[in-house]
Amino acid sequence: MDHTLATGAAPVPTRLSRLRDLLPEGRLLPDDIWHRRHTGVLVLLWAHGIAIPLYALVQGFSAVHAAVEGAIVPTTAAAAMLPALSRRTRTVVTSIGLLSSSAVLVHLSGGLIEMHFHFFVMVAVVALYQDWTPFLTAIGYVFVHHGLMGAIDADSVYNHAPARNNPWLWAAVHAFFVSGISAACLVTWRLNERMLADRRRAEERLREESRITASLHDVGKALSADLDIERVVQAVTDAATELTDAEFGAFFYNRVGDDGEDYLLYTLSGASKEAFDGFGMPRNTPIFGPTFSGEAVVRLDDVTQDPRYGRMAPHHGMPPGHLPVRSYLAVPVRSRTGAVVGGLFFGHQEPGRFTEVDERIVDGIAAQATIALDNARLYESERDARAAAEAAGARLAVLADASRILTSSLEAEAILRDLGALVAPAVAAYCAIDVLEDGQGLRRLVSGSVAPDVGAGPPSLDDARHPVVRALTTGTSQVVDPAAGADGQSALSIVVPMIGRHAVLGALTLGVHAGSRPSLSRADVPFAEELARRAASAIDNARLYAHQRTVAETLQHSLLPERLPDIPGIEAAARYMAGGPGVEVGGDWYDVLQLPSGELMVAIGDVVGRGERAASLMGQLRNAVRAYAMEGKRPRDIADCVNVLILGSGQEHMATLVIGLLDPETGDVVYVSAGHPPPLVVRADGSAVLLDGAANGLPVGAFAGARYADARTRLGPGDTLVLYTDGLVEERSEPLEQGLARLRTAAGMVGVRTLDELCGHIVASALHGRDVQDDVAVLAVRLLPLGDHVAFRLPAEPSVLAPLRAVLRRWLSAVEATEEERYELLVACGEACSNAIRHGAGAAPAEFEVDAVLDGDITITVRDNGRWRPARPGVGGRGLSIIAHYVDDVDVRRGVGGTEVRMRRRLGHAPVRASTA
Amino acid sequence: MSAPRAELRRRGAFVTARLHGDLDIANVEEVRLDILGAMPGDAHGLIVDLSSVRYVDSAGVHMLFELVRRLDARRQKTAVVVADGSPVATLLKITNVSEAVPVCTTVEACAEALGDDSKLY
Repeated sequence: MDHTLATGAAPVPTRLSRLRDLLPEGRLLPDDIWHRRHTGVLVLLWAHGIAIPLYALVQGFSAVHAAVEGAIVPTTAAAAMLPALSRRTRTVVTSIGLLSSSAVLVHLSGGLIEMHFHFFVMVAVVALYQDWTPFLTAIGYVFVHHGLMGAIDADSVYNHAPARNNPWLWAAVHAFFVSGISAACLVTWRLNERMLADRRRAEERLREESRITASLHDVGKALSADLDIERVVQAVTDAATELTDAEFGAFFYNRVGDDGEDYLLYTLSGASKEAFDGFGMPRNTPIFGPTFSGEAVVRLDDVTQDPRYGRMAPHHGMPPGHLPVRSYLAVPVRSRTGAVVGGLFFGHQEPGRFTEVDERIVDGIAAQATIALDNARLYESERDARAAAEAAGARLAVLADASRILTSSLEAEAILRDLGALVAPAVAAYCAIDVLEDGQGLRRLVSGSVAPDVGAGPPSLDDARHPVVRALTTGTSQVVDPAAGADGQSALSIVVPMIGRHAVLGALTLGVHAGSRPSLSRADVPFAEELARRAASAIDNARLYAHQRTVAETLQHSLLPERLPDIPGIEAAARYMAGGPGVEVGGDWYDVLQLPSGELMVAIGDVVGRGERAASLMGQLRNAVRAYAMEGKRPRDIADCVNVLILGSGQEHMATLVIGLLDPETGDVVYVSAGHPPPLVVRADGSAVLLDGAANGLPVGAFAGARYADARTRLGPGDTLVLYTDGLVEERSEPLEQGLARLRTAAGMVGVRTLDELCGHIVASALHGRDVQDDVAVLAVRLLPLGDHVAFRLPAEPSVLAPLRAVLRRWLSAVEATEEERYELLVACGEACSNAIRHGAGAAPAEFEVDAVLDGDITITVRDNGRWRPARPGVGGRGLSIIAHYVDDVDVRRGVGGTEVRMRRRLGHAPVRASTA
Repeated sequence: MSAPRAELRRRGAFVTARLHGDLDIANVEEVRLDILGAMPGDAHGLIVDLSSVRYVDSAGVHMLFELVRRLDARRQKTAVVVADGSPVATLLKITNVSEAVPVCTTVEACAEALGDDSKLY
């Protein structure tokens, strides 16, 4: 500490006091030592009491003289042994006895000069008493004895004339020399005494030091073993109070709370907490100030007498009821950085109880407390930091898992459920996610155990004070912190809005239960907000995806043929399987189109990529292919045109496709492949061939310089052309060849009846039980085998005439009609069909049937469900007359249900001109 | 259904319309409109070339008569080319087309049949 106040002024040293200081105290000799020395000196005295009479007898004195002469010594010896006398009196008496021995011996020796030495020996002996009275006695004895005896009998004392003439003067001279030896002895002795006293004080101080050190060491040991601040503070208070012998001690110390606010706590020792209840904390008063500012230690023998005491309102001193304090000691406690963290205060109702030693003890304890408190705080902050790091780690892990979950699915509800399950046991006791539904308020998804007071249901949007509603309306996070929650009730909860790209989507609530793990704090708000941000983004994505998927699916379905056209002599079937859920729609498409030329266009394609744009491009491609085919372009030219079209449109997508033109009359197929898997032909006998020998071009949209080449194949009666997209044969884990081989095997299976069954069988076998990952499209077109009897039911539309002619041509070729016969029968049939189409209209659905039989002759019957108008000049009439020209026999029957035209012609000769009925 | 387009060409004072594929009720109306729409007012006549047509029935015949009637009103003449002895030629005979307009085996023959004063380039 800086300095000590009010310990009393030391007296100013003066010359006189320094001289007095040279005088021995005399009282300093401890009693036991005095007694030992006194006994020794008494023995010497008694020895003189025996030796002197003997010496007198030796010198020739009479026994009486010897007895009288020596009587003084035993008399003083006996007196010196009286315990009733004081130490000093006995000292003086002993001294007189010894000095008298010298005087008697000098007398008995007849003034022998050597006997005078005995006197100085005795002076040295009495110095053992370490008192100045023996010396004074000696000086006085010499002066009085010499002066008195010199005056009575000068010769008995002095041996020279000036002394004999002036006995008192010379008595003074003798006394002066005795004073000299006395002074020498006294000074020497006094110096020794002081040296001893110094040493004793030093030893005393050393002992005191070691006692303090030991105490502090004990306190320090106890403190350093403890890392709990509360216990450290209490131990400091207890130790200091005990070591200072204070009636009570207190330690007021600052703590920094979680919210960063300082507040003062205290511990007490020697008094109960109740004794200080209601006093308030010590303030920065003149008395307390120096302690809390760290200015100085304050040690007062009587605090009530201090000028600084009682200066502050309202109490002007200790508040009523305060324990009485006179002795006062206050020591600041600092942290390692030097900041004052508190103060130790000690009191005693008696004044003057605290010494400098106490001050030093407390100062030492304060230093120990500093270290212990710092350690405890370091430990606490380290522990808090570790806990925070662990909590942060757990939260980071949750966020990482959340990202995985949020991107793993595109279904909003599933995502939010997974998210809740991730958060609820790990980070919070429960997680409630309220999602705003269109015009229907909130829908709540709950994970974990919700406190009963929070509830499993969503709040009403009208409840404006509900934290969820507040979060939704303000867009800001809400922290609900009931001051004291009962066990099992909600303690802290954090409500954060989930803000999407365009709107608030809902709110996420994390909560914990009072008195149980896990715990949350306000510091977790950013974590919750991050979680909500990701959840909102996932909801946005899911909704956007759902929207896009709907659009794309609608688009795709609108682009796929609702049903395949009925084409006489041709059977067609298709399968389309969309990829699994959570996958965007693909750009697969297929198409079958009757061309005006009579040819059948079959096409399949796969736009590379997925989603709305792929589906959109698919639509454009499909229409473009249709248009080019209708224009009469060949497959190679269609591919060229489509390639240029895509590249020119700025689309980044490519597409693979196969476009084929099937001549239903001959079974000839002209096709082009743009990077597409090879078409498959399943022969009527069940064998399957992949058409992989022909050149395969680049996907359309890939390269402006791409060139495409037509390839050809021929379908025999009963043969099937199978087109498909790569989803059917491509699997990531295996080479394409394997998928193709599997397809070929599956398609070649015998025992499959209809084309639709074949398609189903191909799809099931080729996928061999795996999930559809990609979209799969399969299109199969079969050239039906034609027997002696063929029959077709056709819609009453002009467009059916070309394919009908195509199949009839094939049939007529098969029945070996000549080219002329074929033409004439086709025209005859065409006229009948045209009439059926023209006049059959009005009944829905308008259909007509064509039936052709070879039974030696050829009979073709055309039946409609309309009404055949009477022959009249013009179209109808001309048609009928043409028929009559070309067949041997024609029979027209008109009925309520429709009209039937039966035409018959014998092959091998020109027709007899038929007559019309 | 779109029709097989008529290949229309100006040959001096005449326009030739070369048809392909099949002519039936599905496409005759379009072909007729195509041809009429493409007939310039200063052309002396139209030569319909059916030599590449595979199928013609009464609808085609009706179209030819319609063409003749409409062009006649514009004082333009019509002739038809068919391959000699072909089924189409037979049909035109049966339906009296060959009585109404010149039916020849070549475009040149038709042009000659349509006008002494016209030249072919």
